[in-house]
Amino acid sequence: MPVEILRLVVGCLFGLLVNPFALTIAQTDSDQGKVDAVDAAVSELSEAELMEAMVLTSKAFRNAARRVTPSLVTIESYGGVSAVQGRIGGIRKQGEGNTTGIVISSDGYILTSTFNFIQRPPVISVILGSGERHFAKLVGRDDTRKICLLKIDGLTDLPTPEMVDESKIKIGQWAISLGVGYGDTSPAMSTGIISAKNRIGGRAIQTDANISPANYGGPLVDIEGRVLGICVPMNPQSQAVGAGVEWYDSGIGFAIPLANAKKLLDRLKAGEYIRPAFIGIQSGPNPLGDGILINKVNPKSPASRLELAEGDILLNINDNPVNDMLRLKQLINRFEAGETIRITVKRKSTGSEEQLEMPLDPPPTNAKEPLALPKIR
Amino acid sequence: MSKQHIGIRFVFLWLICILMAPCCQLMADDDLSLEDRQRVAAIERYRIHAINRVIQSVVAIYDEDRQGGGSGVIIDPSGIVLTNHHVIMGAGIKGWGGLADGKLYRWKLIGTDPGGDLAIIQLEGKSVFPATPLGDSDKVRVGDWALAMGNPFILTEDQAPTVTLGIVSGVKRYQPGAGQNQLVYGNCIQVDSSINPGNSGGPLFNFKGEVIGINGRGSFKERGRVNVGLGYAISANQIKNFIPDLLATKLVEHATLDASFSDRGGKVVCSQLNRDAPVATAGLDLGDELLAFEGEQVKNANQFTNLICTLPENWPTELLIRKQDGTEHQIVVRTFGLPYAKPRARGGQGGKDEKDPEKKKKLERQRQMVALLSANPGDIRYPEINRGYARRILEQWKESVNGDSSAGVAKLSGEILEGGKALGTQETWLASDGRIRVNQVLDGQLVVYQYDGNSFWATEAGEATELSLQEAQSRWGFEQALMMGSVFRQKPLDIFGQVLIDGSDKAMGENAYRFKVVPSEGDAVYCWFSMFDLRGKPKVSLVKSSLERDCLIDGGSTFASWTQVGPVQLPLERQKVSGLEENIELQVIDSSFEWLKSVGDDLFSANVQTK
Amino acid sequence: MFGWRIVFLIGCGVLMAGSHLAVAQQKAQPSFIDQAISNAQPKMVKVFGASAGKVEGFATGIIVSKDGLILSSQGVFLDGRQVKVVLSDGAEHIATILKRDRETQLSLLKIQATTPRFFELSTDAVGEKGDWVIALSNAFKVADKDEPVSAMLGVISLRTTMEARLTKRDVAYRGELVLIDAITSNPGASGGAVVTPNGKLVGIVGKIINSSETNTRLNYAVPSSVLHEFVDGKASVTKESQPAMERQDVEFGVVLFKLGGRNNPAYIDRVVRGSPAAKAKLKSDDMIVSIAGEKIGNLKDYAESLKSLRAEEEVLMIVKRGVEMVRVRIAPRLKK
Repeated sequence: MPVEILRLVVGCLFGLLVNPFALTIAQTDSDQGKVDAVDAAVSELSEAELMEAMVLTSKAFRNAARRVTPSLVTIESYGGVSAVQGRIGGIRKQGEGNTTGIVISSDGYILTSTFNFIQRPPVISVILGSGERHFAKLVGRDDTRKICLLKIDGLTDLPTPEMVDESKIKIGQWAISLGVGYGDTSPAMSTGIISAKNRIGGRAIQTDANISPANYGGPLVDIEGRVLGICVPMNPQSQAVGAGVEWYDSGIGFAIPLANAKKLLDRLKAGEYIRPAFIGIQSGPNPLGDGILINKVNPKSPASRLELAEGDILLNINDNPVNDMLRLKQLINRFEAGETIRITVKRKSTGSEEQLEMPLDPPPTNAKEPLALPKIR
Repeated sequence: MSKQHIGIRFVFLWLICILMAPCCQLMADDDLSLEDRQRVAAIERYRIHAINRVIQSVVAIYDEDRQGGGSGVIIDPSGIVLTNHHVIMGAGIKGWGGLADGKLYRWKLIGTDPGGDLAIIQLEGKSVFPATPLGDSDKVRVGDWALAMGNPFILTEDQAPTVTLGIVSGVKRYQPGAGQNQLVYGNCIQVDSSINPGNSGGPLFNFKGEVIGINGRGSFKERGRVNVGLGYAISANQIKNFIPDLLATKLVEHATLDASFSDRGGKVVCSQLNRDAPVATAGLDLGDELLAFEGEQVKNANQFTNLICTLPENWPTELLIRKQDGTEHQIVVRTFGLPYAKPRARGGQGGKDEKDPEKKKKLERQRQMVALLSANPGDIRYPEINRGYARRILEQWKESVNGDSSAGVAKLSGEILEGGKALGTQETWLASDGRIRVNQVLDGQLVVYQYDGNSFWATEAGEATELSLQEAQSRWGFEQALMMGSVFRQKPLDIFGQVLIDGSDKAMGENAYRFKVVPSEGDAVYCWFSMFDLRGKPKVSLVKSSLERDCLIDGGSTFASWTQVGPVQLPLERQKVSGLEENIELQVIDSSFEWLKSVGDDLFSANVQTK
Repeated sequence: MFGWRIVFLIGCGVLMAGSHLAVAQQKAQPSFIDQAISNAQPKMVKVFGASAGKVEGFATGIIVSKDGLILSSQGVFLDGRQVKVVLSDGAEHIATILKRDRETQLSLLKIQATTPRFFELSTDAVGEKGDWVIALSNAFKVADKDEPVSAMLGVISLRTTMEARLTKRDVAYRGELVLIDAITSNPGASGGAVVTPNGKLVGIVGKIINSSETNTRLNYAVPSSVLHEFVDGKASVTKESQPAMERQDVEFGVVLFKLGGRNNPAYIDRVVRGSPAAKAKLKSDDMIVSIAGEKIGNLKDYAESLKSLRAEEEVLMIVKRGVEMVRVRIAPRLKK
């Protein structure tokens, strides 16, 4: 017996040493020599081998979907406001179908997109991967990320998906979106790559896989079926709940990474309603030098409370210089209502610079908000 | 144990070994073995690396106020950036560019081509920028992977571009333009990589680290300006045709022959012709059949249209035609330009607007754009900027042919041939201090050309005559040597005057910079430097020189077979060519060469007795 | 003693390694879909007909027999005086329309030409979710004359049966669809081919329609099995094989809470005594979640659902009672 074990061990070791693809598992990215060897090997594959590798990739897509599907849920809405007025990017009204969500903790917390509840349904139910239907209640909401948290009661061992640390996500890696919005119990899949990170105030990763109402609230997974993020509609120009849907299936899609989001999820579990920041000024670039020239201050806004006035110049926010509108918008986008920023302002009245603390408000509530949607471009 | 029993157990173990050999700590999937997953991961990693190689060269283009959105790509480490003309129409003649390093750099406009929607801007602020070279777009095939990078919808906040993946959906596509002769996409590449507003001007990459196109158009209809899977990119090979004209700081026009072709009964025939057009003077008639254009067989009129869209004004085009009597003719003519509508200068509201600083800025920018589009197409708008590029190109060339600058004399000897028949011999001495001697024996007669650093001499039948620079240049043997001697000069071509990039051209069938060297007195001389080597990599090489742009009067010289002679590279094959067709009249082939540490000084002074 | 076996093992290891290395050394580098595209192009045609207002008058088609049968989508471009088909070599032919069907949105055309390169129509499903597909079509009529049609790459998103419509006036498409994630929903693309990298036909690109579920454009292929049926004409093309039964007016015996309009969830206000609802022990404030597997999202859904039920036929009904989910079996009765 020991002799055979010896052979077994020798055979394994030999195979391990000699198989070049096995070597890739030991590889780290810093090992440039081995990396180039892999590149060379791939760039010299024959058509048949390339075909084989791409067929294997399809299998890997299916495997990835299979791995995450147990944590994918179908969300059903009952009732709500009638068809949303106006068109959103060519869509005449929100679809009638079910939407998608992801179980993020085994005791019944489910994350989905606020887009799915544009019609403010009073009753929500969830069909789990097991097929069971449960009623859910809305717990917390984040308008800056277009996500919201649901809770089902009475469960303890729901399957949750593996997540990928945001720092490990690479531009160009496969990204697979999954969603049940077309009505079939089996989720529809779209594949693409990760196009960028640090988008929309640093909150989202970007993909060119199809992202649409068919999968908002659903997972964006990697080739191994681990969740990169949750699919949501986004548009840096507007925080409205439907903003971004005009880019559905256009190769511009967003997902909110979740692996490092424990603090955020705790806040949502606590029932928080996270809202975007609003300062309340109309401005333009300062034509005479650095900074932003304030043209108008909205009444009852953070700017008005600090008594900012027309002609004042906003120079920086939290030590970041602001010289153009794009930068202003991008900087403000990084914050939430309730946070406080430190601004440097040059007053027109005195001509001197001041440092001020500015607590940020949410955008002024518009009674028509649930129905008001961004204009089509 | 029986032998059979042992055998079976062995086979069983062997099978286990084989299966376990790619040993692992992870369990394989029911569908995919670990090896399969590794193969899949390898393909993914390959793509990630392909992206990392090129992403640093992508530029997010903004105007001076950091508004607006367009994209570009750095194609040369000195900071030369390609973008769309319509991007700079929106941004202005200068602005800011963001790179993946997170920083913003200033840029200014160098030259633009409204006809083909191409522009070159210059990035400032670093001596070496990450760059990605142009590839060969003729090698691109439908089904190839295509990566588009840029700044759609101005999404970037850290200046890193958006990367989208797709395939090449079609090649040699045509998208009609707008306005008068503007924004035409001919012979362009169609892709399904997501391209949206903001991607314009940005690169289309292959996986080999090359720019195969510049994205700039898309098909849109019911969904507004949102990608629906059809994007179009200007082909890299078209871009190569325009780079010298753009670096020359011109407003460039696109080519026209002042003739049209139509499909008639399976043939492509000339259906419209301006009788004064060069192509008519060169022999084209109505009804003649076009067989080939620019070396490519033409099967239908669309093909001709596509091809001519890729060419600039003044391009030496080749047509193969078949006349009504059945004879075939080759015609080579320079193209005219398709004119643009001159913009109407908007008279500003005057004083009132001048006081509002923001409106003033806007007016100023409008004025700049009007001035740009009102320029005479083909004129060098900024000679100093042009000269800067010319000098840099010559420096690059000088470095590649003379890295060393050690002292000595190169001696070349060879035969002079005409149509393959030996006519005589030639010996050339080129000293590293710039002195030159040529012994040319033609039909038994010896002529000696000498340059001693100050003056030019020709000695024939024992008689030494001093020549002016002009006269020296008109003697073929002397002219070749003066050109070759450039490898030793501190500033190549300075012996001939001040250098300028005259424009885009073809020389010996390759893309070339046409330089014009203007002396303080006398006529200019033209030199052509090819832009790419045989493999398509950027490389500058002296290819041709002539006193006349089309090599008509005294012909021109071509330089080939660059070989290492001592510390320098010299062309061992030179030809005398004439006309746009570059017909070969004479050849000099140097069969031997040596590098001498020193020679007698009197070799280069005139009055040396001939042998 | 066992030495030769070790040698054998080592030899096998080397062979395995060697095969990998040899494989890596081979020449590059066509794309993996090169063959599929070049094999498909000769089988593609461009179809030109009449336009009607904003609707384009061009489409794509595929050759399905060696004697000039062409499959395309059904549309207004077929309504004009002439339908012109352009083959991949640029040859133009006038086509006659053999069949057109509004349910499947397909048409069968015939040209007088020999067409040796054609697509086989499989009766089985070709391709599964995640498989790569190449969509070939003349979207936006980018390709003219003999120029090849455009190729797009995607994967199969889902094989499903669904309801989709473009506008209220259009016939609702109720067939099998192969959803793909390449954007085929473009003018002129319908009738194009969707093929696997092996060159097998998955289906033809469908017409531009919206999903009523998501209200977004659907990108899909009409599967080859449906195409096969259509061309062969054996089975009935309409999906309604059952004779339409006379509709009954049924009720469960509940009065629903109507305040707020038809978009409100279907809450029971009160249960009529002695009704099927009473027998099933439904209560006031129950909210009807689903009937016979169909979600009842609102009062409108409830009304629609009743139209398809038959008296005395039991169905499963799920209601929400407080936070509980209650399932009952209930059969409606004829309305009095």
